[in-house]
Amino acid sequence: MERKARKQAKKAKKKGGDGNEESKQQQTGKGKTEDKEGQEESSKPKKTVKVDKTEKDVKKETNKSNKTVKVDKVKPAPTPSTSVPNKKEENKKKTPKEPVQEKQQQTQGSEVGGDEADGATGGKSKAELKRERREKQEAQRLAKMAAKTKAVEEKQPKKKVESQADKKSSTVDKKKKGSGDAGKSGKEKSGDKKSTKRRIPLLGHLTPPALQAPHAPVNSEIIHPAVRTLGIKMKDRVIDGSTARVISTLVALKKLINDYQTPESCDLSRDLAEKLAPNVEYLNACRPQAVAMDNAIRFLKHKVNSIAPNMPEGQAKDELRTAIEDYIKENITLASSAIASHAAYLMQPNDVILTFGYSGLVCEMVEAACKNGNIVNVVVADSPQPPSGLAMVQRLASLQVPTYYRLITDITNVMDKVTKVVVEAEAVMMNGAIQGLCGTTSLALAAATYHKPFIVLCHTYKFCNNDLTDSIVVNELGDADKVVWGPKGSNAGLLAGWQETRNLNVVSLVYDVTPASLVTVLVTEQSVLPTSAVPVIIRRNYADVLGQD
Amino acid sequence: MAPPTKQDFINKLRLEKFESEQSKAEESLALLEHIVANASWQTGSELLTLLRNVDIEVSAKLPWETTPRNMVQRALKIVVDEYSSCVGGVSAMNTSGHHTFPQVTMDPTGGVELPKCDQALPDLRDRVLEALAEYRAELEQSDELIAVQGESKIHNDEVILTFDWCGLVLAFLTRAAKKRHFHVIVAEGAPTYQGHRMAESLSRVGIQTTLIQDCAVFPMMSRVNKVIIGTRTVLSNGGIKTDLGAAALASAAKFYCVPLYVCTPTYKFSRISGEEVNHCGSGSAIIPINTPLPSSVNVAVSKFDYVPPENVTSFITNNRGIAPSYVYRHLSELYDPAAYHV
Repeated sequence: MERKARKQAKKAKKKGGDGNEESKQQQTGKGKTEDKEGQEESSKPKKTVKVDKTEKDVKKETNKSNKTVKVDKVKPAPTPSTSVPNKKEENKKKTPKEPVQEKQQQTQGSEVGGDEADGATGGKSKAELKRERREKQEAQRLAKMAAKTKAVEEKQPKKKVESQADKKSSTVDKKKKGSGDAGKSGKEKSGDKKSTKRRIPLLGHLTPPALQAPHAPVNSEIIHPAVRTLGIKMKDRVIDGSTARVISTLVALKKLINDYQTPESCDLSRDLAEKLAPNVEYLNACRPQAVAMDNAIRFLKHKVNSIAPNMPEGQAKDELRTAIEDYIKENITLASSAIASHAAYLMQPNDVILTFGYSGLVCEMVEAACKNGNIVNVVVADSPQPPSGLAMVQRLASLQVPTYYRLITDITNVMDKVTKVVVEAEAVMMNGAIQGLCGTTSLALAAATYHKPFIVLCHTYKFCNNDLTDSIVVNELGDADKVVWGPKGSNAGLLAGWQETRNLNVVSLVYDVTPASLVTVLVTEQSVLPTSAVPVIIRRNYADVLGQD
Repeated sequence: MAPPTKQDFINKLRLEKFESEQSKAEESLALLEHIVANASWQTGSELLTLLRNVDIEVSAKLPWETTPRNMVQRALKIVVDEYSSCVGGVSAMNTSGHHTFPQVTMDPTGGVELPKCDQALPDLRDRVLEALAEYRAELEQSDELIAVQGESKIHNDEVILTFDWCGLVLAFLTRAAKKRHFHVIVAEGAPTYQGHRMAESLSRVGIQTTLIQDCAVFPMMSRVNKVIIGTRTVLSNGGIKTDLGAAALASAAKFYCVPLYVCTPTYKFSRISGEEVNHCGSGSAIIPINTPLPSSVNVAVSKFDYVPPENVTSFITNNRGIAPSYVYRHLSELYDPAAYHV
């Protein structure tokens, strides 16, 4: 109905009494199209039709051109795909379409078109005949294209029908089962196009982990082999932890830059940026990027963009390589030792430190503290899946530090003996919130409850421009099967059939966000800061790189 | 069936052969009934002493098992009440004479003095047995009475968080699910992982369930409307002592101002006041198989967690909801003030 009104309004603007007759015909035509075509398909041609109409209006074309538009719509009624070639025709042609109209009428023959054809055959010139021939050829060529696109488009309406059906069924399910926070989960469920993988209520915006790496042939021109192997390693969690992932990503991209050769007549900066993009996407598809990785890649892109166009290739590549190496050295290696020494300064003899999981920075801090002569005791809290704390405990024990290993649910029983809680962050948000591995917030809350300082260690390159208030908005889903098979004894694998069961979901979150109010201090390589200083650092150091996101 | 003896009962407790607190309560009641019915006693005082010996033995060997001790306390109160109603007005009072307004007082000497019930009354035995039978009926109905309150507590489209296995909470939610549609998130409850069992049972009943890890409790708490858990013991200060993970759950609920309800029948209300007794389990429960740890590392797992009363919103019991600050008063209705052995 809206479309009719819009079209009528446009017709009303045009001159000539013919417009009225045609408008009636148009209405009938529209009526038929609306009956015959699917809603979504017809919206497409109509949009392009409007564009074309305005162009034609500008060029003062006759009303007959409008008829051709209608004809195009009417004819494709049985098979929506044919509207595609017609659209393309319209897009390409900016000249009057009387001959096209005639040909289409002749070839396809609709009821409405027939009437108009009689009026249009009179008064053609040679130029118009030529145009006719040309357009005939085009029509034949486009018909071939249509045959190809037909196959594609037949799938599309099916998918859309399915997704609509799925949306309906999911809403029905919700009414029956009633997922909590129906408003939020409802939006999330109906918002995303439902794929065959199911979404978890309340976390519908998070994609389940990739089971297989996206397809890329070994000798692909687009995905560098180093990037490909890295992607698979990250997907399988062989390389884990933001620092390791950043270093390995930059190393792989360095290899890519090494092997890169500028093609003829191309700007190195633009072309390299284009070549980098699919590689980065590939890594993202293997495993969603960590914030730290995102920042590092942004830095690299910024560097690539800033290469002068007339710089020789060898020099440019050298510059990029040294830039990467310097980045790693400054922001990771040297920064880590600076953070460790700052944090070790905060330690006192016989401190009992509570930490979570495996953290390279905390280990370095303990080492530095031991060198200073302050022997600290460390309690490692660990979540059962994944048990990264075991590696931590082994490393600490080799440092001759008294170590205790506890489950994360058990920390309230040790809190009265703990003096400080120290963790490493995966990322720091602009509002001071800390993103860490899932479980860090339990430590933060226990520290607040028992009035112990909660110290966070973080490199500045992990600061990011997001502001997060809760842990669900931005997160990653881990492997739920590890949770199902985690328990020992009779409870192992009890929920093994959870994917088939409609009522049951198993969730493993990777990250969580600690609110800034629970954090006492943030230790960075620059200094020991309160969380309110985070936006200052971002602005000072990374404004150009991080941009206005 | 062999007559229940104290020794058998204590052994069974020690070897953790009971399925749930409910079965412990029932068996301890059976033991007490047996003592009342068959042991040789003449006066009320002798009976009281006999019953209290059970309490003393259990507390000496397994101090964290509060349910049997609570049953004994209840039985003592029943005996004292029956005695006083038998005698008709001449009540068995302590020297302090606080019969009209019983208050829970911790006798520093250890509460050795039991109320004096010296008269030998012939029908005391029958009356006590009758009262105990009534109490047994109440015990068996407690599940049902608590579950019925589910409909009023849970509303449509809510997200409920629970953790670990609790039969009472399962009954509570199942009952509510018949009329309401809501979503339950279950924390898995390491190291026992009973949360898996809970999630499976809930999903079988048709409730939309999600299982999460314990470390994810705080992140998910921002979306939760209510927390409903069970407990092992309710302490006299209004706090609870329950399985590992409850304290983190309760702190998170407090942070997000989410109400925390505890489903508990009356036999879990105990007179111990703090978390002083914490039993440790084997550390091998938390180390994955085939992962050698250096021997210098101290590994341990506690068995219980303490939740302070300020984190608990309300206790859902047989009769009604009880606020944590009222628990001390409720205890004085349940148990006799003098009959407590520290």
